[in-house]
Amino acid sequence: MNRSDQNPLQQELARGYQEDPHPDPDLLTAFAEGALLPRERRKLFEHLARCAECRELLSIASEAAPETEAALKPFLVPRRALPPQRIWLPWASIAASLLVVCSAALLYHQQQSSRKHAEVAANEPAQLPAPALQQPSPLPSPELKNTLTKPFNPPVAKPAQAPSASELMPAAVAMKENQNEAAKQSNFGLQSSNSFSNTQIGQARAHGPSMQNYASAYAPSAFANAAQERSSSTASLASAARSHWRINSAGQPERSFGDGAWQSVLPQEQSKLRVVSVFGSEVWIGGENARLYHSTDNGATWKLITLPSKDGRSHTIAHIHFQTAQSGTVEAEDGTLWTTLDGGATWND
Amino acid sequence: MPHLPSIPEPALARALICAIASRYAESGAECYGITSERFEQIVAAVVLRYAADASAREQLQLVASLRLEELALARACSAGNEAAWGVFLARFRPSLFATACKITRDEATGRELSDGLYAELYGMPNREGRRISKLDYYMGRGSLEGWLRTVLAQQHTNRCRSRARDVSLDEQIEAGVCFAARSPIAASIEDHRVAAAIAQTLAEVSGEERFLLASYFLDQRTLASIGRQIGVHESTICRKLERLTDALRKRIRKRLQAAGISPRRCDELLQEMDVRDLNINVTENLRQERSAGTF
Repeated sequence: MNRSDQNPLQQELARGYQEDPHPDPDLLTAFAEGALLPRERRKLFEHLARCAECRELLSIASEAAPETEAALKPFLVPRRALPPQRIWLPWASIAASLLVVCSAALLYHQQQSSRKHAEVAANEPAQLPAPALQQPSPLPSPELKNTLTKPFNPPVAKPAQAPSASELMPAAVAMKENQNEAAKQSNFGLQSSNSFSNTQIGQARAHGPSMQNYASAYAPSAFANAAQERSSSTASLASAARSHWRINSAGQPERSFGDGAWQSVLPQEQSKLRVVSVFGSEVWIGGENARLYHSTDNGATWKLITLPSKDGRSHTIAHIHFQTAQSGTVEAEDGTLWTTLDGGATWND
Repeated sequence: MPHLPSIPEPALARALICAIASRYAESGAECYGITSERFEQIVAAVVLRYAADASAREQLQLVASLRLEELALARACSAGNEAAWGVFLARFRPSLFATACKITRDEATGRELSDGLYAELYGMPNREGRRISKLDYYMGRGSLEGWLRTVLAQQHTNRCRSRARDVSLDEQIEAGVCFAARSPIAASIEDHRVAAAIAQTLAEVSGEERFLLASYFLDQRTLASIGRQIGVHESTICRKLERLTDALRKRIRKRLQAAGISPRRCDELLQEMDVRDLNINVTENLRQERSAGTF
């Protein structure tokens, strides 16, 4: 047909065909199979975007393709070679994830075991079964009496060696006795007799592992197993000996070892005390008339601190906060601040 | 047999000739009686057809991507090699019929379609009495099975179109065919600047993006169907379309603001066109482009 005979619309359509001919089936097949060169693929995309006829043809052909071939095609394309840093990256991330999970599991296990140890150790002196305590002891009774009367010397120099029963027994007995008697005694802590007994308590707590070994050596098998499990962590034993503090309604500070019995630690103090602050074994108690007591041995002995005052007013201590064992701040109700950087030896207001 | 051009030395580098020669053995052309010189001519014809003005590197890539085994089989079949026809029938005749049935969705029509193509593949004598096989048009760019599938689809659509033209409009109306009215939404757009912004924005998108838009919004193809066409997973198509429509909205908003429309009014217009309306406008633009380019 002569092109000059065509109407303008047909000429325009024919001109479009001449500029952009339809791709042959070879190209369409290669396009669907991803076998075209990048330049050809771009060009064919341009054509397909404007040619509904070729889009339809491509669609019919691809719909007629076997399912397996069409489904597997994207996965049969060879993978690009990854750069070296991206090869080990997935494995490193997997290893890091495993490490995090294992660490979390280990921490959880340790927390659970330390909690169990704390509960058992808190109840241990009172809940030790009578038969276990009454079992025939390899210790001769005179030797036991001697160890009870003489001061306790912890076997610090032999940590790897299991302490003998003669070294362990006094600590446990002294701890139990002092817990029961401390509430009755009205010593101030600075007196020598009370100081001695409280020191024994502290030593007994400090040598918790010895108590654990003692329990495992003399208790029945089930209890011994539990004791062996507990003796695996010294950190958990330190927490087991943790004391609890409170100020009662009369303004007197009291201490408990977790057995429910509270004992007054400063019974002679007439002023009402308000606040207790504990940092490790350092205990600070403050209250009215600027009374501030300090104990470096978890309440065994106490020292009265005199805070400097410019105006001579009577302050009531409301807050005690120590960032470290040496540096801390004491704040009165009226906003007066005292700070120390040497564990309470000197104060700056 | 169509005339095959000789290899022009300046056009094809020596590396290309070596690459073609190195693939002679793996193509199995020797089994069908195709000599190495003849094989080089066949491959050179493909290179000249698709990459005559391309760089030597691209020509090497093309040679490496060719399906030379199937190309040699097709050329041997068109030359009347009995062994080649035996291989072709064993490998492709069953799939040819199955594909035809799948395309036509009817066994009888599928058989008719596949038989018609088979006759063309075998060769129809021309005016000079020489047999011309349709396999001569296979160039080895894709698989032979895929090429047969595309040819079947092409013949099927041609047949459907030729039959559809036989039915008059009056007959269709009598048969109860309802014709959809033109969507009034395009005409309801108050500000012509919106339409201009959409048209300008669509003119900027790449061919691939335009193909995705046309296939999804204009042809109403599914994500899986589009994914099968270009060999990627449907989720990839979904992500691309989402990104594309978001980018289109941003560009349209920017153009509207540049045209002097206040940001608040832009928001109102884009809210009015939210998702579905925007798609309809995209469809309208694509439809206009399509009608200008094809029948």
